[in-house]
Amino acid sequence: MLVYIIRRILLMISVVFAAVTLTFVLFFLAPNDPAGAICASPNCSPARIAEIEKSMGLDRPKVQQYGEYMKGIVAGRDITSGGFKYRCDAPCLGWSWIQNQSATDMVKLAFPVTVSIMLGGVVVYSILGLLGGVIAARNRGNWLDRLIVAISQFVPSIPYYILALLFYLYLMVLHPILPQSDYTSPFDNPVAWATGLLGVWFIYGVIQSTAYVRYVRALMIDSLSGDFVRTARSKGLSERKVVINHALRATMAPFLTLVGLNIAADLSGAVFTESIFGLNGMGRLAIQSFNQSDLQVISAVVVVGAVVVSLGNLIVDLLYGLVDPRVKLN
Amino acid sequence: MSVIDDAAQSRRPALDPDAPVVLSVKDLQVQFPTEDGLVNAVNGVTYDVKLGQTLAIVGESGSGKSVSSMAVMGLHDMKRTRMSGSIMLDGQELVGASNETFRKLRSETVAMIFQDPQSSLHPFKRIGAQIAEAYRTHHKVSKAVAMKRSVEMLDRVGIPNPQRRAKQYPHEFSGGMRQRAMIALGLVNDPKLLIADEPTTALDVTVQAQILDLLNDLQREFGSAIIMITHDLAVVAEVSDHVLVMYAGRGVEYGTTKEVLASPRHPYSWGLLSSVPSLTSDPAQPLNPVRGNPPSLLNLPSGCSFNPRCDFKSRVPGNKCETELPDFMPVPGEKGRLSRCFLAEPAEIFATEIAPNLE
Repeated sequence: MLVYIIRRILLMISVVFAAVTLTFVLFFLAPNDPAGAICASPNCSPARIAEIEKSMGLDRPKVQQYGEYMKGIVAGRDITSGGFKYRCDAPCLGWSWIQNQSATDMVKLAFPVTVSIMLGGVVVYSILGLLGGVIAARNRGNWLDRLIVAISQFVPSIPYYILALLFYLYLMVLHPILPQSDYTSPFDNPVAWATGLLGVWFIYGVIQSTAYVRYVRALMIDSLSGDFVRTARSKGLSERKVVINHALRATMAPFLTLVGLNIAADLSGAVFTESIFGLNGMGRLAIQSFNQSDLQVISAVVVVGAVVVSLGNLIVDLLYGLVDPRVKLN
Repeated sequence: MSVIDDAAQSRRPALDPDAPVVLSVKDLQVQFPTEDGLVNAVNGVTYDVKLGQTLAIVGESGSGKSVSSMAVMGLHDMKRTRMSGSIMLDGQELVGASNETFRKLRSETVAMIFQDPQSSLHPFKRIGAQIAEAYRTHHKVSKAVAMKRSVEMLDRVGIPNPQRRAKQYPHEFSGGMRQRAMIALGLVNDPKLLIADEPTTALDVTVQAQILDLLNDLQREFGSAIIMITHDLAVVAEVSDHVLVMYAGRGVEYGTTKEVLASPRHPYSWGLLSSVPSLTSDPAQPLNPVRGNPPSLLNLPSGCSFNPRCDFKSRVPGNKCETELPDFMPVPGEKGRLSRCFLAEPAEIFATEIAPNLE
């Protein structure tokens, strides 16, 4: 087990390394001009731009810059910007020439927001997905099942950003049933953290749950007709125990797999969620940096995304071993 | 006669005619309404099972043998099933009984062993815990006591090292061991009736013999009644006292195992016997199946359900087989035997035309 985890972490590091290298390559292959972005006035001479580039160290060979970039991640490095020297502490994921700030510091502010939204969202859509799926499967073929399936087909047929926006307008602005979204660190004030994100969790969770409702319904229909459920009934167990302890228990492994795979999708969905609800998370940071051609910050967001996705997959694989005893982790 | 192992039959204890009846099924009908029409799975089946005795129910797929037994357990989805007739289990009427009534009887009074132990055990739960769960459902005991009982049961069904085995999962068991565990699960509450639905079909022949021996031993020890559902006549000879041959959801022949296997009275039973391949006959000789296909349960043939496949219907005068359903009648001169056939002299036909061709 421990050997497996260590091996997986080593594998993860290599994945992240590849992601870092790729984003670095993209940063230099993409048509970008950080010096031009700083010296934006029309009377900025080519000589002045070359001077700025030199001060940023962008005139040096790419390989050398790559080496410095990697060193920055491991040990930190010094950045020269506008004639001043700044210390970018490890893990230095780059420097925002626009904000004159380390990309790591910017990510540090935005990351907890996104993680908070995702965690609460996962809880809400897991509960709704399991509940809706089980109820639909138990009532297979009757009006309740049809209603649940109809809703779960209709909701995702509307683009997420429109639906979330409508939810936001109706439930938070016109009829403020849900509290206004606001981020407070859970370590400072957990109650404010929860109330500030409650609406986001709810709206995000409800919309995302539809795919899970259909998936869990299919899994439950399959599992309810399974031989082992018949055995459970023949033991004289109550129907509730048969459904929850036996049928639902058997669907947990594939359900977890889907949740794990969707972490990446949740991350990309964060762009819309955070923009609509005005929360300064990773998605918003990416959009803002994109608009300002702040490429080092974008690459920092990509790298952190890669870490989150591979970490999520590792956690799901470990959980899988706990849920399904047939899976041996070694 | 290859299918009847006389030694196996003589090993069975003598039948006690006064043994109490545990299960009495009368004119049971089970129908499933579907989009294609009404599936007539069981069309009036009648049988009794006595304590300490084994009834084998034999028939091909779709003959209603499993469906009628599942009805005893109440395992059909009652929203999608129509049932009529009577099922008296231990003095309690079960047709129309509530789910709660069934729930209390299951495992406590009637238990079932299923065909495929691999899929019938929960893949994510430890064997010991699965058995203990059944015990705790009907006994108010602590988890530790139930686990002890479950280890005892595993030991009783011949699983070596039961203490350790109880902590393992079904995938860590071999096929034969899994079926033993299924039997332990079935007997943990000492039920009066055990229904074994093709318990050896998924097992290889040596393991099959061990499981049948085990069932025989356990029956002697626990004194329960057993319904053995099978299509394997060798199994019938090995474990049963009485045989009910089913066709298209009805009983067509009933008698003691010895009588039915040695001198069957119904043309369908003749077909079943003739289709058993013999170890001693010429391998080049083709098998001799019952010709034709099982009838559609959506649309049963008029008259005797077996008539489209029967080679002897021309011997019944007036086309009666195609127009009239024969009753399940006592065979004249043979006490306790029933047959559903119009043939006037089935014993002679069997002796002169069928028996000589059996190896």
